[in-house]
Amino acid sequence: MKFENNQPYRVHQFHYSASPVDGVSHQMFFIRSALKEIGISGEIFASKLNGLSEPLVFKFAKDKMWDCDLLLIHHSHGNPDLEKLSRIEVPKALVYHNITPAKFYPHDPFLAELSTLGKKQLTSLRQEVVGSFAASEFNLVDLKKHHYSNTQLLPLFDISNELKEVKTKKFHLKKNEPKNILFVGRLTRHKNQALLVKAFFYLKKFLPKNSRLFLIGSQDKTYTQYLKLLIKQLGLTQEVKLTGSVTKNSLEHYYEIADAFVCPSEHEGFCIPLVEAMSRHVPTFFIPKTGVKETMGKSGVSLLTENPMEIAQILSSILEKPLAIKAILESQHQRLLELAENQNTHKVQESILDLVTKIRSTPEMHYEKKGASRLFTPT
Amino acid sequence: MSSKLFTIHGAPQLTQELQKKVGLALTKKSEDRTLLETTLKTKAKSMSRFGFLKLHILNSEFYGEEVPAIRFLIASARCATQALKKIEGRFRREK
Repeated sequence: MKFENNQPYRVHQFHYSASPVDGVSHQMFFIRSALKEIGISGEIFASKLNGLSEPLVFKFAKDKMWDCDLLLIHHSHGNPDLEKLSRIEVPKALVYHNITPAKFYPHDPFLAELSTLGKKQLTSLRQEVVGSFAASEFNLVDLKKHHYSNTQLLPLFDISNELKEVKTKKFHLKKNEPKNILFVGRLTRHKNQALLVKAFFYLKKFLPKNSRLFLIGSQDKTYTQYLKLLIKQLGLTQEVKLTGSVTKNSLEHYYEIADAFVCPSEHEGFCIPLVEAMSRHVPTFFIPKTGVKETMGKSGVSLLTENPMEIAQILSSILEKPLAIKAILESQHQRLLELAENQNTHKVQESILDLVTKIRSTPEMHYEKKGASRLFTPT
Repeated sequence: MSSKLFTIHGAPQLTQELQKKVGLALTKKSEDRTLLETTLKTKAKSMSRFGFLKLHILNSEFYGEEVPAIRFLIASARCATQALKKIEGRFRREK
């Protein structure tokens, strides 16, 4: 579909599912609001609307998605509607969020299948798109492995906005005060909360009475069942709290009372809760794997062991050392400043505007009419 | 304990100092190392027999860690999920 050059730009976005709590939806809202600031309109579409409704997100409908210069296809797992999406003859760009490997879904053949499908589609999508973006460097590497060229980083959020919202945290370093350990992320195998529960089994003995482990996030049914049984078997039902999804205000409260954020995750494309924790001045501990390593850079505390007892001893020794806490918070502040150079509104506006301008000025990148073959050369 | 267990980024001296402290504490608590494993293998009073079996079947499903008590069960059912279905059915019938 062609536009006259004086018409305002329009960019739609699609992801197979949308919800108020997942990282992909978070980025779709961020992109829409960033583009709106520079006069680029557009809607968000999804096949599955979980806890969201129109007009915030529209149910996927081919006939509503034609009127745009560019369709951003967010890809984080298999997309059963990709074929239908391909038939919409508008220029498309990929926004890649990484696919959790199928090995993490031994209990769920459907999710395992979606993961495998997602990888296959990543290869086929290369022929469909005029541009490709990734939400992190880790994801960029994955895209390059799939022979994408000219890929760019597309910010997930504006870190300076995050920082503006944060109140200064009052740190309680009194030895006898209960400590609160926190992790935020869906209860699922690849986030590996079981390791944290096992570490807390030992940590409990080192910490003052009434210390707690809070595991915040939506729940994979079988993995949550497993965690509940593990917690019961280890005698931690009073201390370990599985809260489920929480509201934004409630989440702020958990960050406010947290003495440490511990990320045991084995697979992340980029870990937004780590940034939230850092920006809320919570000392952060992590196992340096996949996108977690990139998110933290040279900040916080890298855990180079996955032994629960050793993790517990490390946490307990560091948490009682004010000098260590100070050093961790300083390194985290530096990391946030580094991340802010790339994770900002301006970068989104610049990247997308650049692509849509190129599309308008390059007739080969348009679809001439419905049913016509694609005329552009894939990147 | 020989290898480095953690890094406090931006604080190499502090890391070294605390590394020694952590190492020493771990050596003293060497007898605690098997505590978790023992606790996981011994059925807690608050657990039902079904809950205990289910925990270990799921543990095997997610982490590939099996206790001898369920190894046979899983092997005879070919995989953990099948084993879980099998014992769920059995316990339902017993009720």
